[in-house]
Amino acid sequence: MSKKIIFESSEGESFEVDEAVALECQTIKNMIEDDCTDGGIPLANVNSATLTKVIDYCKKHVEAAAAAEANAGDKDIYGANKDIELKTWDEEFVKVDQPLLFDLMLAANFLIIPGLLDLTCKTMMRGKTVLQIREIFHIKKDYTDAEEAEVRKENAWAFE
Amino acid sequence: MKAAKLRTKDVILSDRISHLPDNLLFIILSLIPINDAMNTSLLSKRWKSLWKMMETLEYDESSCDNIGSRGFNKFCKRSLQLHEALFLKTLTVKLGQHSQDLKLPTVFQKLVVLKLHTVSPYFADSPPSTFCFQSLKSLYLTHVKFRGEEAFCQLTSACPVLEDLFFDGVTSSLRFNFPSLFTISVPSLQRLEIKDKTSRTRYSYSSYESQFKI
Repeated sequence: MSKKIIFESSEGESFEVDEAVALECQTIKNMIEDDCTDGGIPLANVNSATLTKVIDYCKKHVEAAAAAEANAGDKDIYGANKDIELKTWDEEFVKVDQPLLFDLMLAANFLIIPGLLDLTCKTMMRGKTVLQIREIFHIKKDYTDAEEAEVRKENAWAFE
Repeated sequence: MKAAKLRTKDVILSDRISHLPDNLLFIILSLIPINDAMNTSLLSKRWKSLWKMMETLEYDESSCDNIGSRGFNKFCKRSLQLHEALFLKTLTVKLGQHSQDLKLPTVFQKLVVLKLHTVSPYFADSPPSTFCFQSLKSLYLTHVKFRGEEAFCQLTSACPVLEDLFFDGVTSSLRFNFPSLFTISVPSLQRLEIKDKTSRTRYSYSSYESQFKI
């Protein structure tokens, strides 16, 4: 039986995961290597809802990597399909409300999960116009009209 | 991470993204096309110079729309002039189907990785008076066409600490007039990789005609 690692969320809830799943987090990997994971790992800045999602993500990616390895022989046909399947899964995974997306991104940054950090960061702004970004993220314009005109002018020069 | 704990109704409507640390915003900006990243400077003062301090920039013609009538390479040139290239560590330039001329500015003090794809590079000041790629360790050239062998020599001689050189489909525009001879004279070079995916005949041709010295 594989070794288990216990995470503790900011609410004090315990989550038991396989070591292989925990190893997806570089920060935890370092702790495991340094042998300081006994008695659980308290994650004071990751809440239960976020941690549940993070664990889902790591599990899925560990399983996908194992499946890819097992089918390494038929990589051309089978592997490509599996890649598409995982990509589709990722896309569904980040269809969450904005606060949770932020929490996932911050957790991925803190736990160092490059794939999840990339995925959440990509989802933030991709395919959105400046107007949409301002609206979605509630960014207040603090430029004076003259300052804004200056920035517009500079960009327009490059886009000319 | 403090912000992660605050989840009240009020906070949902607050501007959480602008309060993220620069390093996270750089990642977010690096994952959207460069022209969109530039446009975020219109959002607020917090965003005004953010894109100019990004350490990684990718100019990919296929992912950028609305770059004006002057063409993508002109846009690259002007956009790079606006960028505070002092901060730049990795630069990737991918132009369209045919290699186009790209005038390189000469201010890349901190650049460590340069990747050129379907580009015909040359220098703004020819020949460059100083080592303009002072810190460049890795140079990736994919489907790059040089204006004669001299242009290639100029590029490599501007990279005093180059360690990795990756070649894939590198040609000289004078290749059909007389044999291409890329003399790689880079004392600091540690790894050299040459690939040629174009065709087998061309590969044997170029390997026969090319001479590599390390």
